[in-house]
Amino acid sequence: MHNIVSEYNKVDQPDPQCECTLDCLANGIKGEVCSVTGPNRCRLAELGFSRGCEVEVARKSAFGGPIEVRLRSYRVSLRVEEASGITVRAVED
Amino acid sequence: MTRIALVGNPNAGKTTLFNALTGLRHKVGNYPGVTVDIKSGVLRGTDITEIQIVDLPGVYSLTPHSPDEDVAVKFLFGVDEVPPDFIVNVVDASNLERNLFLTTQLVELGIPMLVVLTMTDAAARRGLRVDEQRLSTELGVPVVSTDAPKGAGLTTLVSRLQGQGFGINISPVYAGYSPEITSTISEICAFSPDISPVLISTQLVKETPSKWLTGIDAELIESGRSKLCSLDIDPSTAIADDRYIGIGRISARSVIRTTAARTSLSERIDQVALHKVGGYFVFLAIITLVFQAIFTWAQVPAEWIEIGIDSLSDFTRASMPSGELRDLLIAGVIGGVGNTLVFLPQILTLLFLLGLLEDSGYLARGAFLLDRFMYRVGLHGKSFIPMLSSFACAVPGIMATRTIESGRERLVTMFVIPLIPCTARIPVYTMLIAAFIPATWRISLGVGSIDGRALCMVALFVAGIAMSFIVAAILSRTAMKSAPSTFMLELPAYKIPRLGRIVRESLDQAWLFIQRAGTMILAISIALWFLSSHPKIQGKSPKEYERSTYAGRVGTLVEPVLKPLGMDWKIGIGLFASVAAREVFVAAMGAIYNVDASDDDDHLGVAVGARMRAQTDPLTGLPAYDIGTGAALLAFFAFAQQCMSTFAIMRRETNGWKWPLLQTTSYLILAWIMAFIVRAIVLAANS
Repeated sequence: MHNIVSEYNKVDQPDPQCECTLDCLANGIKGEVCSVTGPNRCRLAELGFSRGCEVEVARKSAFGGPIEVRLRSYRVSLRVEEASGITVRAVED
Repeated sequence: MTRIALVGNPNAGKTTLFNALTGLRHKVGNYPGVTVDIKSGVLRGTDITEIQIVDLPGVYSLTPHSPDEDVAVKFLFGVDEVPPDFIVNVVDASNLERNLFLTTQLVELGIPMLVVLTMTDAAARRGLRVDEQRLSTELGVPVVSTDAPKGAGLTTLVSRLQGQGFGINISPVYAGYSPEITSTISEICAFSPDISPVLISTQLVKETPSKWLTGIDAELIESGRSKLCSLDIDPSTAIADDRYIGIGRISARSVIRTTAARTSLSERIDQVALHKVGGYFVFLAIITLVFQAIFTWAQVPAEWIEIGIDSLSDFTRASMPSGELRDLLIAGVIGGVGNTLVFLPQILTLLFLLGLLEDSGYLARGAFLLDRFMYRVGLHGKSFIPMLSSFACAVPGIMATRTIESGRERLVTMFVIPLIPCTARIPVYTMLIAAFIPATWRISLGVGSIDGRALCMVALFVAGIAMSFIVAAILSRTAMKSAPSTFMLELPAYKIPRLGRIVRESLDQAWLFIQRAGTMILAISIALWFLSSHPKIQGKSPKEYERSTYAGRVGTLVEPVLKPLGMDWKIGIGLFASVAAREVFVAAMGAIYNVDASDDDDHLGVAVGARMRAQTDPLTGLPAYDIGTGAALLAFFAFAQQCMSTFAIMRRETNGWKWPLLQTTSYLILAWIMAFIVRAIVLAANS
C-alpha cells in the first residue's frame, strides 16, 4: 500500500443507473454501492459501504424493521432509514 | 514498563486473546473521567513491572462515534498520557476487509505493531484462507495466526512479545488519497506540526471534530473539511472510499479462496431465529425462561442469604451489650449490607444468563427483532438488553446501556430504566397488596375467576413497563428530539458459549455492583439509622420520640404533601427510608410500629401490613389508612425514583448532576400525580 497511485475519480453527474436504494433491493439481488448519504454515512463508509462495493440484501425483517446486508464477506443490519441513504446499481451475476 | 495496547473490531476475539495472554491475572479499572471499564493485565511469564497489556474497547476505526470508542482512540493517540509502546491488532480473518480498515490506520500511527489473525477456522469454513506472509508484506508489519482458545500459535505470540521483538517503527502515510484530500492533509500538517496525518484523516470525516482536539487543530480540521466540501468532495465518505480501494488490493493479494462458501450453520439457525413470525416465538420463549430463572430459581439462594443475615443480626444482638454500637451494627451495617447482598443471586443469575445469550450470539438477534418497536418509542433495539437487566436492578441496567452507541438513545434508555419494575419493589408490593387488597376480592370471568391480589401484582408490572415506553416516546418527541441515530448491528456467528469466561465476567460485574451500590447503600443505611434514632431525647413517650427524631421531622415536614394521598408522617418516614433501597420501606414501617423484626422477612411483611391496617386516627378513631392509601402507595412505588443507588449510578454514567436530578424529581412528581389519580379512582369505586 506504500505506492498506490490515486484512483479516485470524481463523479460529477449522478449515475443514471443508480436510481435504486439499498432498502428497495430485492432479497438475493446483488448491487454495487454508488453513493452513501445521511447523518451516519461516515460510519457506514467505515463499515465497508464504499463506492463500488458489492452488497446484497440477505434478510428483511417483519414490520419494516432492520435489513440484513451481506458485504465484504460479513453481514450487518441497518435500519430502513439508513439503507435508504445508500444508492445502489443492480449487477448481474 | 512496556505497555501493549490490544486493539481490534468488536467481536474480533480480543477478549479471548487478552485472557489467553494474561492468564487470569487482570483487573478491571476505570479510565479517569469517563466511565468505561478498561482491563489491564500482565503478560504471562513476566514480572508485573515488565509488560502490561491493556484491553481497549472495540473500535471499527480511529474515528470515535461513542464514549467507549473515544476512550480507545484517545489512548492510542496518547491524548491524556503517553501513547502505548506497542500495538497488538486483533484481526478477524473471516471478516478481513472491514478489519483491515482499522489496521491500515493503526499502521499509520507509527507505533510498532503486530497483527494477530483470529477466527481462521471460521474463515476456512467460508472457503477463505489468509496468507500471513503475503499480508505481512502488504502491511509492512508482522502477522501471526492464533486460535486463542486452543492455544495454537499463542506460544509463538507470547515469546515474541516477551522477547521485546517490538520491530521497527514503520509509519507510511497512506498514499492512496485523491490529490484534493492529500493536499488538505499536508496543509494542516504544515500549520500544526504536532498533529499526525492519520489524526487529520480520521477527524476530517467527522461533522464536528472530537472535543479533545486542541482549539487550533480543531479549527484547522474544520476549515479543511469545509474546503473539501466546497470542492464537492464529502470527506465523510471519500476518505473511506479511497482507503477501501487500497484494502481491496491487499485483500485480493493475500486471501486465497479454497472452496465455495456453504450456507453456514448460523444462517440456517437464523432462518428460524429471525423468522418473521417464528422468530418472535423463539424470543418470547427465551425471555420467559430468563424471567423464570430470576423470579423463581434465584429466590432460593436469596432466601439463604436472608436467613444468614438474620442469624448474623440475632447473633450480634445476643452477644453484644445493648447500646449505640449494637444498634449501628445491626440496623446500619448488617441491615445495609444485607439489603445489597439479597439481590446478588438475582443479579448474578441475570448477568450469567445475559452473558450466555450474548456469547452465543443471540442477544444481537433480539435487538434485531425488537428494533422497530423500540425505534417507534425513541429507543434502540439494543435498549432491550439493559431494560431486561433492570427487572433485577436498575444499577446494572444503567451500566449496560454503554453498548448503545447513540448518545441520545442511550440517555433515553437510562432515563426510563427506573420505571421498570425492579426486584426491590416486590417485597413492598407484596406487603401492601396483602395489607390493603382483600383476599376475598376475585374477578369473575364467567368460566372462572381471577385472584384480585395476583391481578394487582401483574397490573403493577404492566404499568411500570408501559410507563417506561410512554416516557421514552414523549422524551424522544420533545426534549430529546434529534436526528435519527445509527443502528448498525452486527449479527455474529452463533457459538457455543464459553462458560468459564461468562462466570468470570458475571462475577467481575457483580463485584463492581457490590462496590458501587453496596458502599452507597451502606453509607445511606448508616445515615438513615442515625437520622431515625437521633436526637435521643429523654423523658418522651415512644410515640413522641419517633416524631422528634430527624427522620420523624422529615416525615412531619413532608406530611402536607402526603395528606392528599391519604398518607401521614409515619409513611413519610418509610418513604424517606426507602431512599436506601425500596424494600427498606417494609423494615422501616416495621420499626415505626414496633413490629418484632426477628421474624423472617415474609412474616415481617405480613405483620407490618396488619399493623398498618389496624392503625386508627387518634382524633376520630376511624382507621388511619383506607384502601385508597394502599392503592396510592402502590402507584407511588411503581413510578417513583427515590433509589439512592440509581441516582449515584446515573451521576456516574452521565458525568453530571443534571440527569440524575431531573430524573428523580420528574419521577417523584409523576408518582405523586399517579398516586393521587389512583386513590381518587379507588375511593370512587369503593363508595
